Amino acid sequence: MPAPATPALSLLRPEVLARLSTLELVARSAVEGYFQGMHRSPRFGFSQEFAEYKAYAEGDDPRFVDWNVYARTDRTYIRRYIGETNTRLMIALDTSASMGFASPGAISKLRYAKFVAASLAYMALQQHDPVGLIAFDSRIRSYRPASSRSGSLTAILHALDALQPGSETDLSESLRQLREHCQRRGLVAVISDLYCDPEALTRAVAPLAWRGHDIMILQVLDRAELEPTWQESVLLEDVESGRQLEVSPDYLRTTYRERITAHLARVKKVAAGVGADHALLVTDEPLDQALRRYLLFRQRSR
Amino acid sequence: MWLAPWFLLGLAGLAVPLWLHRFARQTEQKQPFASLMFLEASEVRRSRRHELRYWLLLALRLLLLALIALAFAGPLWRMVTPANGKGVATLHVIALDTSMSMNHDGNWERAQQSATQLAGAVRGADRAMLVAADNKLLVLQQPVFAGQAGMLTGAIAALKPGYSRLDYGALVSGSAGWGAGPGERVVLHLVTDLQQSASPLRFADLQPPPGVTLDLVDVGSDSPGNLRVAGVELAPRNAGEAVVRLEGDAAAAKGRSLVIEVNGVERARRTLPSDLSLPTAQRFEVGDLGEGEHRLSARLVPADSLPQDDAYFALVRRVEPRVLLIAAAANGDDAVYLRAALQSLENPRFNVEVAAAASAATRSLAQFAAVVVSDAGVLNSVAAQSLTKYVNAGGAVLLTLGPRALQLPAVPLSGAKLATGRARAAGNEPARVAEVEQSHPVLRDPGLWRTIQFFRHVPVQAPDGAAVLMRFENGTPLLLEQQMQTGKILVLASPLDRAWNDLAIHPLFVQFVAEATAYLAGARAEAATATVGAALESDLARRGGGQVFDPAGKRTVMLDGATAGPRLVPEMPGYYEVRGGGRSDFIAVNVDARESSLTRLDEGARTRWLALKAAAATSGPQIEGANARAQPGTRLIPVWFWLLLAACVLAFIEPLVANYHLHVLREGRS
Repeated sequence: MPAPATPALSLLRPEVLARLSTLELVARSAVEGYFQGMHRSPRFGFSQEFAEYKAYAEGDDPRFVDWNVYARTDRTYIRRYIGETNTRLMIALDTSASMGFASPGAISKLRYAKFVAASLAYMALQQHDPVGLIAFDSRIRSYRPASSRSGSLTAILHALDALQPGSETDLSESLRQLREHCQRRGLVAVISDLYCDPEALTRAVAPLAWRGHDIMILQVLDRAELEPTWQESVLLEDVESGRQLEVSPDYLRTTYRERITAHLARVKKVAAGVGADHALLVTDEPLDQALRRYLLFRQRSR
Repeated sequence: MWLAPWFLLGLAGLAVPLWLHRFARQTEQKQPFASLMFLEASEVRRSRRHELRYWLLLALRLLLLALIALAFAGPLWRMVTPANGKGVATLHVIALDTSMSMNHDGNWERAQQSATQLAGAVRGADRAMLVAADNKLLVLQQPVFAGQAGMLTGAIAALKPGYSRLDYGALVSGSAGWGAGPGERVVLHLVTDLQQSASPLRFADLQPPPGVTLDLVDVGSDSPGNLRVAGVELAPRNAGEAVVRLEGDAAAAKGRSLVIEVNGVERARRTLPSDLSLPTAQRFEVGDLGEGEHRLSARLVPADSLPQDDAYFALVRRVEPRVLLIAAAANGDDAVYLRAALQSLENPRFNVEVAAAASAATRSLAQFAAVVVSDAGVLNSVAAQSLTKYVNAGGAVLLTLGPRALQLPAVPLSGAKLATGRARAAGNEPARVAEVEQSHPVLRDPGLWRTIQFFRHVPVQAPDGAAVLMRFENGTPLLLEQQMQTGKILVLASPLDRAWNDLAIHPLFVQFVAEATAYLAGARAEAATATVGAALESDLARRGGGQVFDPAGKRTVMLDGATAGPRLVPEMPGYYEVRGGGRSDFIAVNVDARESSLTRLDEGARTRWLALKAAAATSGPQIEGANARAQPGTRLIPVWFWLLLAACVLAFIEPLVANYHLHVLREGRS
C-alpha cells in the first residue's frame, strides 16, 4: 500500500476518513488535504489562473473590473480567467451487493466509493460545476439531477449516506437509464467494481461516449480481491448469489490472480476503446488518485 | 468364522465419524467474497479434489474403527490346505530325550536316526518341530513345513545328550505350550529309551494335554547292566578312611577298578572282586587329610557303556574344633563321661580341654569353638559373665542343669527362671520325653529319647525367644535353644550323670553330646554335593561378585536369583569352582542317580500310558473349539494380529490427515 507523501495526504487515507462523522466532513477533508499536499489553495473558485483583460461592456459584472488598471489608464477593463466553462458531473455509483464486500480491517468498497463520490461532488461544486448522482445495482436506486445550486451538495451527500449494498449488478440497464437522464454533455464518473463481462461494459458505456459524454471509470476493488492471502483452502461464498465454493490457496495465488489481472486489462482496454478514462482504486489506498483523475480531466477539457 | 462375534457390535461405532463429518460440514465457517466469477470455471475440479481429501479422512476413520472391531471379534481365515491323506494338518513335535541315560550303548545314535526319519516323513500341510528334553524343554526348531525338513535334520545331527534327568510327566505337561495352529492337531513323538526312572510319581501326570496325541519311539536296548558310584565320604569315626558306595549290576564290575582321588591326586586304587555283591560299600585308606576342605572323588576304570555315572565327586571339610568342658571338678563323673563322649568322635575330632569351675573365668574363651558346662550351678558370677560375653560374641555353650543349678534363681546365661527352686521328683514313675523337635539336627532319632528315664530334672520356664526342642510329658522343657546376639546356647534341664537319669548308659548319650557339640561348634565334616540340573543359590552377591567355572574350566552363566543372588544350575558332574570375595570355593556336582537306572518301562506300563486319552478340553482357549469345528483339509488362521497392526498404522496416519484438515479450518476462521 503506497504511503502518503506528506502528512497532509495522510488525511486522504480511507481508514482516516472512515473516522469522520459525516460525508461532508469527509469530502472537505479529502479535497483540502489533497490540495494542501499540492501546495495550492482549494478555493480556486472560478479558476484563479488569469487569462486576459477585456474592455468593460454593458452587462458585464462590475465586480470583475480591474480598478488598478482603471487608475493607471482611466479605462475600465475586466479580468478574465481560465475555466469559466462549467462542467456537468454525473456520478454513477454501483451499490450492488458485491460493493458491500470488505476484507477484515478494511472499509467496504461501497463506503470507499461514497468517499470518492462525495469528494468529487465537493470538488466540483467548489468550481460551481453542476453535480448529479445516480445509484444503481440491477436497477436505479437513487437519482439526483445535476445541479450547482446551493444545497445540492448537502442533498447529494444525504443521498450517498442513505445508500446500502443492494442486489446483483446490471450495469448495461443502469447506464441505459442514465442516458435517459443525461441529455446534456458532461462528465460521467462511473464508480463500480465492474464484476461484469467487459463486452457488456462496452455495450453500456459506448452509447454515452457517442452522445459526447466524457466518461471516467473508477473501478473500486478490495485488496483481498486483487491479492488473496488465504494460506489454506477456504470456503468462499458469493455475496451476491450466495453460491459457495471451496478454493485452494494454490489456485488463489496463481490462476485467480492471472484471471483478475486479465480482467482488469480487458476493462482498461474496453474503456480506452470507447475513449473513457479508467482508474483502479483499491480500498486501502488514499483518495488522491480519484481526485487527481478528476483534475486531469478538467485540465484536458479546458 | 469369529472367535468373539459379539465384538462385531462395535461396528455400530462407524456411525460416530459419519455423524461427526456431517456435523463438521454443517458448522464450517464460510468466508464472504465479492464475486466467484473468476473462481468458477476451473475451481470446481479443485474443489472436488479437496472434498475427496475430507472423504479420505472419513474413510480412514471408518476403516480404523472397523479394523479394531474386527480384530477384537477374532476373525479366523479358513485356509484350504493340500490333502495329506488324513484331511487335517498335523504338527509333529519330535521330542528327543537328551537325558544322561541316552548316552548308554548306542541309544543316542538310534534316537538321532529315528528323529531324522520322523522329520523326513512330514508331508503336505503338516509341520514338524524339534524339542530337546531333559531337565528342561528346549525348542531347537520352530515348526517348519516338509520343504524345510533339512533344518530339522541339521539340528538333530548337532544335538548331544547331556547329564541331566528327564521326567516324562514334565515333558508331557509341557507339550501344551507348543503352538499348534488353528485346525492343527499335535502329535508328540517322544524319542526315548523309556527309562523307568523317568516316570513321574503320579502316573496320571503322563496324560497328554488336550489336542496332543502321544507317539512313543523306543530307542532303548536291553543291553548289559550298569554299575555306578553312588557316593563317597569319609568314615564317620575315622577321618582317614573313605567309604565308597557302589550300586547297579554286579556283572558290570567285572575287571574294573575303583580309584580314590583326593584333591586331584590318586590316593588309593583297588580292583573290584569278581564276586561283588551290590550294593556295597568299599573302604579305602586315604590317610589323614588334615584340616580344611578336600575334594574327594571315586572313579571306576575302565569306563563302561554309561561312563557319566562312573565317578562321584564330594567335598569334605575337616576341622578339629577345640571344646572347653567346665565341670565342678575336672575328675568328676560328669566330666569324665562328657570328655569320653566328646573324644570318641573321629568326625569331627574334638580337641577337648577340661577346666574346673573355679578356673573357668581365667580361660580365654575366644579360642574355643564351643563350651560345655556340666551343671550350670558351678559357674560363679565372674565365669557366668565371661561366658555371656563369649556367647554374645558368637560363641556356643551347652549347659546342663544339675543339683547345683537348683540353688540359682535363674539359669546363668539363659536367664530362664526355675519354676519351683526344687528339683522335680519323678515320684513312682520316671519322667519321659514326650515331645521332640525332629527337624533339629541334634535330635535325629526321637525314638531313642523316649526310652530315656529321667528320675529328676530341673524345672525351667522357657524365656521369650527360646525354642523348646524337647519337653517332658507334663510339658516341662527338657532341652532349650536360645539365640543370644550372634551366639547360641543349648540348655539341658538334667545333668549328664547317672544320678538323675539313665542317659549316660544309653548309646544316645555319646551321639547327643557329639551332635550337640558339633552343632554348636559348626564343625560337622560332611561330604557336600549337588545334582546336575538343580539350581544352587550362590553367595556371590555377598562376596561382591565373582565368577563360576565349570569342571571343564569354562565360565558358567549364572541365573538371576529371586532373593539370595545369582543362581547356578550345573550342567555337568565334577567340581565347579566359585571365585569371588578373595577366595575360591568348590561345589561338587554329581549326576542324578535315577538316570543310572537303566530299567525300562515294561510293556504293560507302555500300553497303559498310550491308552491315556488326551485330557478333555475343559478350559482351553476358544481357538481349540474353533479347531474342532474346522473342516478337514482346511486350517483356520487367526488374522486379528494383522488387523490390529493395520489399525495401528491407520491410527498413526489419521491424526496427520485430521490435523491437516483442522489446520485448514482454523485458517478459514482466522
